[in-house]
Amino acid sequence: MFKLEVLSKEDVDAIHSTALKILETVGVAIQAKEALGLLANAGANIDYKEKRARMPSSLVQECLRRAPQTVNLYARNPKFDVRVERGRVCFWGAGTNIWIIDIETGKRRLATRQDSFDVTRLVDALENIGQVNGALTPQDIPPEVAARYVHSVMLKNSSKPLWFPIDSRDSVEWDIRMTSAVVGDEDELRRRPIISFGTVCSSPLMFEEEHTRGLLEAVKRGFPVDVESGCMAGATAPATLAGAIALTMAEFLAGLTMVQLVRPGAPILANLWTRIFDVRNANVSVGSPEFALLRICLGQMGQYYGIPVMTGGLSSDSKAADVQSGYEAMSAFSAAMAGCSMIGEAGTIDSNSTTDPVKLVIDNEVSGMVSTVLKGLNVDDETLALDLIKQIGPGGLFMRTKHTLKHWREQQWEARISERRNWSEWEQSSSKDTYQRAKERAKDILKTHYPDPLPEDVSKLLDGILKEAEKQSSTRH
Amino acid sequence: MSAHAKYCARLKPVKQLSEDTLQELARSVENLESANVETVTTKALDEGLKPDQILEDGLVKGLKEIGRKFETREVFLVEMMMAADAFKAGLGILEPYLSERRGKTTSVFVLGTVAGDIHNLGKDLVSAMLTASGFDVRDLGVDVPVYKFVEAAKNMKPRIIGASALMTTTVVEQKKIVDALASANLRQSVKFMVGGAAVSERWAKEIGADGWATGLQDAIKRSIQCAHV
Repeated sequence: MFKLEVLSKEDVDAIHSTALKILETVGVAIQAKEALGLLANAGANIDYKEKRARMPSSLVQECLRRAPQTVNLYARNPKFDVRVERGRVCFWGAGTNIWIIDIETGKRRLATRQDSFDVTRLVDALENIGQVNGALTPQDIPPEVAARYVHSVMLKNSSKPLWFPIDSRDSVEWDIRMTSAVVGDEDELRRRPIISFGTVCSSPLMFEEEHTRGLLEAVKRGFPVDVESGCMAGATAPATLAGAIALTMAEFLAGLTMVQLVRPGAPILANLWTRIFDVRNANVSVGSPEFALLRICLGQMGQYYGIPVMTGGLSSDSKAADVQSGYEAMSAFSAAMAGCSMIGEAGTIDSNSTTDPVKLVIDNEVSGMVSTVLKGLNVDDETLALDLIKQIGPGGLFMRTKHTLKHWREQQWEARISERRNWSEWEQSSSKDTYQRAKERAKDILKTHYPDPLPEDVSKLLDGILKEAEKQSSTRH
Repeated sequence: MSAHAKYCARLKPVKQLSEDTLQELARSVENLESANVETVTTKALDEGLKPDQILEDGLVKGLKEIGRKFETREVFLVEMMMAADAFKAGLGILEPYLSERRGKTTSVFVLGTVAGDIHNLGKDLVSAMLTASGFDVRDLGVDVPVYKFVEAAKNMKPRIIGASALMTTTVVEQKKIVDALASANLRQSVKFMVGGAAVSERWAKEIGADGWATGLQDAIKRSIQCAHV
């Protein structure tokens, strides 16, 4: 197994003990009263006026012990089930962005309902992307109903594991209702949860009210969750990277503590996006080398805690699926080798603000390459092939042997869009570059791929629940 | 020469004294020293200098110099923010003594992150840059309910109200604010701008905002345009 490390054991210990000290002395501001009550009952020191929870180390450590090392993500089609744990890597995309690159014009525009449908199908078809993590936020639909609509589109158009962001306790309730209708009922859904929920800490050290209420509800009802911490060094975290990691771990551990208090042993992923705030360019950054370095550290911290880590590696700061976005994806390799288990956000550029369907296809290719590297190799008599080498001898050819026939396919990953032919062959087949080849594949998939459909009656049931949810949102707003 | 005469010869004239203090004040802002700015502002007041002059030739001068260095990329956001903080530290001391002239020549900009949203980084950066651009910024904070924006419109008489929303789920609050301003008959008296990653030009137009921005530079440029329309 790969073990890419940059932090020493002392470094890891120092970061962890700093995280604990942060939780004990500074604490976290949690806007949801019920979470404060939960923590108070477990021995945390609560200041109700400031809505601040200071957690003793013993409580945090105990909750850490309860958290499982493996998280199972289930899929409507069981062949797409994902086991998330150290040593395995799963790729995910394509985000909840409002912007998309139009596949015909190559220009950025606002996302539409059609795009949510298309992006879901694209992720469903791409063989190396394991989870559909959002499907845009269409702008041709009122904002208060957009998320529920997108989730219904995801349920209908992908049989892979799905991820839904938590807006509120209500949003979680509606998402569970819709998904229960798809699999039969909530008990069946709980047995094999085909959705997982994610919430985010507002760095530094704040948990918003509705997000927290939604988190507690999702955990109570038995769903896998991830708590995201994405503090930015220089802005919402210390400019020095070690401090940013310690702050991240404090934020995540606060979320983990709440989760484990609601349900001991609840499956939880650490969704860690510690990166820099680019001061020179006055913008957030996901493609900088600091984030690549931080991810290695975050992988190590995940190993230390025994919690699977979800993070970036495929997102780019570039405004196009171009060379920059290609070289920024190098960091997907180091993240995987450092033990990060879920790498995303496939298909995104513009610092995670814009989705590009063509980039989804490119990132699928990169994901295949990373998986291949991570597969490693077996060293044994068959693979060392000493007898064969003796047999072939100097000047011989291995190509025409039974051993090669038996093994070459499993030893060579099949590239889908990478150009690896001889120059004149490439030239004669109209000399397309990476972007053009990826675009062709994207368009081909969109023309031909239709995911496992839902039965007609289930689809109608789902639509009915969606309408109810929309009506409630509209009357409230 | 008598001892007295020698002493008088060494004294600087009053005009030069005030120049030195104001220069020191401007330098303190440029050096991002909030504590020192407070000290020197107090000293300037004690020396009998006019508050408006302390503001213009001390605080504003220093902030403008940092602004110039920001334009030429000698300094960046970190310095900009700290310079704005230093400026505000001095302004806090001067405020009670300033003449009405400031109110007439400086636009008030009320800024806040909408209800249900606790993101503040973008808002704080915009606030610092607006201060450096000469606005009188009143920051309402985060998770600000609609009624507080309306109250601020009534009481602070801003030129512009800016509402920031970072999430697709809270962007709808921006519409509620503009509607509430209209209901309170305040819509005509103030410009309304929206900002944040969840905002687009289409959304801004849909809700009837006067301006919008999703980036820092745009926010400042459009705010200045909006204030002068």
